[in-house]
Parts: sequence; structure tokens; C-alpha cells
Amino acid sequence: MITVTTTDLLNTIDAALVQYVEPSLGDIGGRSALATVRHLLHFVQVRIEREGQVLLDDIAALKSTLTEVSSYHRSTGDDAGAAAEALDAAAAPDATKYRSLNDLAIEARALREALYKALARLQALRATRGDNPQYKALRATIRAYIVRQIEQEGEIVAPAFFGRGPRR
Amino acid sequence: MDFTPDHLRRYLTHKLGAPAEIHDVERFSRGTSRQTWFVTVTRSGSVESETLIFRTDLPAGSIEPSSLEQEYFVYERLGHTDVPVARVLFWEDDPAWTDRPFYVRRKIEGSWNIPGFLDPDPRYDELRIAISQEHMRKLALVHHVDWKGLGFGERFAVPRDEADCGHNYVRQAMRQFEEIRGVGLPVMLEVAEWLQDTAPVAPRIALCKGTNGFGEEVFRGRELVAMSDWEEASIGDPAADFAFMQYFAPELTRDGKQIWGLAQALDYYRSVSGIDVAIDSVRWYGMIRAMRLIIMSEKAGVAVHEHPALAEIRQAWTATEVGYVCRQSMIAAMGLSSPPPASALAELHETIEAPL
Repeated sequence: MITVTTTDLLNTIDAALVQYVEPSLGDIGGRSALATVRHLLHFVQVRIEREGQVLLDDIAALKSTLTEVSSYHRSTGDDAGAAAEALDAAAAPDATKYRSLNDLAIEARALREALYKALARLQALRATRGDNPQYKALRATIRAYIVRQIEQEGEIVAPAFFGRGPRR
Repeated sequence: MDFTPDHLRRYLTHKLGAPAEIHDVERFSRGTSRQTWFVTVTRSGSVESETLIFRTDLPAGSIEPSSLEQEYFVYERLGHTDVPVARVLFWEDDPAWTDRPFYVRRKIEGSWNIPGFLDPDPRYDELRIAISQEHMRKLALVHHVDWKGLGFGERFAVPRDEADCGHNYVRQAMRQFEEIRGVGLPVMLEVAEWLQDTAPVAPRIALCKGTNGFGEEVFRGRELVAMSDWEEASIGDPAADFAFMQYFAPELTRDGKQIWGLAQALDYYRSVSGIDVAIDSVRWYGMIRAMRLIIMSEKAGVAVHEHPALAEIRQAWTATEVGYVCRQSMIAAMGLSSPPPASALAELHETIEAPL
């Protein structure tokens, strides 16, 4: 078992950059790049610690929202479309296998793409169904998902960047 | 392009038709969308050296969705007007000399930095107001350019009429997003629909500069001697330029009285341009600005994803924090969430050369 955690390593790398690399940089371009590198290292650290849960929550929310989209289209007699296909493609993960942040991000991206297409389709129907209560409720559900997802993104971006000095 | 002095000497000797001596080559540290290089050269037979500016896309692709060639076009065309711009010299895309196109323009003496402008001390208020007014005068020149006569209409997406200006920006933004996106962002569709429902009518159809203000222009003393960074130029509502402006309408309140701000800057602009820009329109175009920044963020993200070894570190930053701040700002403007802290927005423009 390696005692040093990834967080420990990132903290030590950052300290080395400040102690040894920064003082040796004469030109503004190098110092600017180093400022960006330090911010991004910190972002990587926050993501390692928190993004797994954020992505799991996002995947669950996306599946739930796409299920509502799919149900709506079925109830109106439409073809269920991309939402249903994306849900079918997102098979239940093997609970015994570790899923990396990349694996989770790939799944979330595929589901988000399906929601994007589903929303575009719903927007095209707005002229004829805009006053329909089910249509309005579904659009509100999607809007609530969008807001929640962006706010969750803030939970990993804000502590990594805000108030920590020039980015470049 | 190989920016080693030896290659530049050979290239400029070939291009200028006479031996050229290279004295200095420096990459400009500001700017994120493209590369800017300062090359100081002496031509044969001349005792005076001159500095040329080379502009080229980033190796992994520019952050800006419009082309470098469009930027060159804008500079070339504006060279025939009263708008202060550096003169372009030539465009180069010969693979014998460069692996990606670039263009060259003259450097105008001056600086993007204005000592004291960001210093909160009230003794700099008079300077801040004078600079703001100077910028308004120069924006007025831009907005009165005969863009049709100069051929901009054949290069840019032109709105049908004043009522179509805002809609045209939304269409353009979504077209660009579709061209560059890696994955769909539902918030873009939601915001586009909201903007289409609320688009203002423009006071006139004008050439607009796009990103402008502190850090984007060249000053000599208090005079704005060169307007730079035309990559986001458009044909549309002058209000857009006030939403794309950095710092040049500072909100100044002294002893409980507002002595300057966006409202006063717009009044002054109206007095010199005759164009009435509504403050609500400026707020609406702030959403267009956020959409465009998200497009740039996504384009940067795709570059980092597809060419991680070629991408620049700033592209990685643009792909992360910048995109998030703009998404949060957009849903806040729609009344769906809280805005990011004002300090976080200001920090996006902060550099190690001009700390807040």
C-alpha cells in the first residue's frame, strides 16, 4: 500500500513549483503559464476528491429526466426517439468493477448528448404544444435538471479557482 | 510557423526582397485566442529597426470560432477608414514557409496597459472617465463605418433589419456551437430559446468590434491609437459592444453620488455618435457574450481532448473555469439561479501583469 495519497502528491508538486520553478522563471510567458498550471493542478485535486459523486448524481438525474422525456413521447403517440435509445444503451454497470472518473464522464456525456437532442426536438414542437400542461411540465423538469447540473459543476469549480489569484 | 530568428531572417529576406536582420523575437504573453509574436527587424539599407506583429492560430486550433483569415480581412478593410488600426502588410499560407497560415501587421507604439486605471484610489477617477470617453469616441467611429461599402456584408452574417439583429446573433452562436461542439449542452438550447423570445430591436445595424476595452486596445497616454483584437467582429447592434467591453465603463460612486458608470458612458456615447443604446439591450447582449465564451470554452475543450500534447495550458483553463462561470451567469440572468460572485467574474480578466 502506498502511503502517499494523490492529494499529498499534488500538494508536494505544487510546493515544488512555488519553491524551485517559479523563482527561476525570468519571462512573463513562463510565469503566466505556471500560474495557470498551479490553478489546474488544484482543480485536478478537487476533481479527484469530489467529481466521482458529482458524476454519479448527474448520471442518475440524466436517466431520470430522459425517462420522463421517453414517457412523454409515448403518451403523445410520438416515436420515443433518442431518449429511449440512450436509456437502452446505458446498461446497468457491474457493481463489482471499479469505474474511473473517465468511465463515468463518458457515460454522462452520452446521456447529456441524448438530452440535448431530446430538448431540440421538444423545442421544435413548442409552436404546436407550448400550451399543453404535460409539455410545459416536461420542459420545466429539463430546465430544473440543467440548473442542478450547472450548480453541481460549481461545487468543484468554485473551490478550485475562485479567490486564488491570477489565472494567467 | 517556426519563430526562430534564423527562420524569420530567411523568411523576411524572401518576403521583403532584401536582406533582413532579426534583433528580437518575443511572444506576447496576453491573449488566449491566438498567438501574437513581436519580431523586431532591420531591413537592408535602413538604420531604423521596426517591429512587426505576426498573428497565427494555436497549434491545436484557435479558441475563436471565426477564422484567422476573417481577422485579417477586418484589419485590411479598416485600414481604409478613420478607425485607428495597425496596417496589415501581408497574408502567408505557403507551406514552404509555414505549417499554418499567419498574417503580419505593423506594430503601433503604445501599450494595452494604462497605469493607474485599475487603481481604486479616487485620484484616478478623472483618468478612468477620460479613458472611458476616449473609448466611446472610438467606438462611435467603428459604429459609423460604411460596412456595406467596404464589403463586410459579403463576409459576415448580416441581419435582415434592425429587429433581426438580436435573432441573428443567436442563430450565429448556435450555428458556431453546432460546428465546434464535442457534446451537446442543453443549457445552450434553453438560453437560445429564451433569447429569441426577448431579443431587442437595434437602433441601427453597425459594424461591431466584439471584445473591446481594457487590455484589447493600444493607448499612448490617454489616446487610443490602435483598436486590436477584432476576431469577434460582427454586423449587428452597437449595444453588443457595450456588453463585450472590459472595464471601460467603470461604476464610480463618490460621496453617495454616481459620477460614472454604464449609464453615463452610454449618454456620452450618444452625444458623440447620435446612437441611442438602451441599457436593457446591453444586458441582453451580455447573454450573447456568455454564449460566445461557452463556444470558445467548448472549442478549447475539444482541442485539449483531441490534441493534448499540442494544446496550450490556457486552453485547458478556458475549457474549465471560463465555461462554468458563463453557464452559471446565463441561468442567473434567466432568473433560475444565483450569479457567480462578482469577484469571480473580475478574476477571469486578471493577469499576473495586471493583478486586481
